[in-house]
Amino acid sequence: METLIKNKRTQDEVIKYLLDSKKQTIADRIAFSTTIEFQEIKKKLKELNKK
Amino acid sequence: MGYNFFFEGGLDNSYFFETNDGIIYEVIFKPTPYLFGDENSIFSDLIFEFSILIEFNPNNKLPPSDSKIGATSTIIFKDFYLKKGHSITIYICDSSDDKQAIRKRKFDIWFTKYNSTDFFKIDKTLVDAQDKRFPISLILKDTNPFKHEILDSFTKLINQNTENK
Repeated sequence: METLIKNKRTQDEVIKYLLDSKKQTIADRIAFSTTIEFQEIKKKLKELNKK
Repeated sequence: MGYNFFFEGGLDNSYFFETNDGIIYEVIFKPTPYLFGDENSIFSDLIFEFSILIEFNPNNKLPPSDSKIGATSTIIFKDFYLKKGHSITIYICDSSDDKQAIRKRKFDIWFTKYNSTDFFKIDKTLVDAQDKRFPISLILKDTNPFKHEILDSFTKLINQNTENK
């Protein structure tokens, strides 16, 4: 019984980890799009697509 | 034929490309050592979560259908494996808007259309305590030396889930 509970917790933890990670990734990207670093990315893309 | 792209690197192994509509996408391979619940396994450092993210959308409208996005993402995928050939990629769709099944279907179409048989994909569904379903794919090169151990761990993860329901 203890093993089953532990396994289930681990299982749910894995799902939670993946979904939390995904949410964090999306939040990070929204924040990133307002940064100077992202302006540099846009410039690089412009240059790349001129060639 | 896909769009031009470049590798920016960083913690999440980022790639960027821009569509004809001016939409900027970022494709990332985020280290995910915890997938099998054991960060100390022999292959934990090889596990990456693959995501395709819209970084900038000038129109604030849903992006139009664009077949070059799939082609570009696939070329990027292969480029990453040229850099890290033993990688294990997982793909779990964003489920925040309940459109995970649509995203998964699109991903599967791309995989079938562009896969050159070098890659091996296994599709499963994770089910949480509330019975919500999350389609998940695991992709690796057929030549991965840890292939059997990885598949065994992945199967255990899924079966554990089923047995506990």
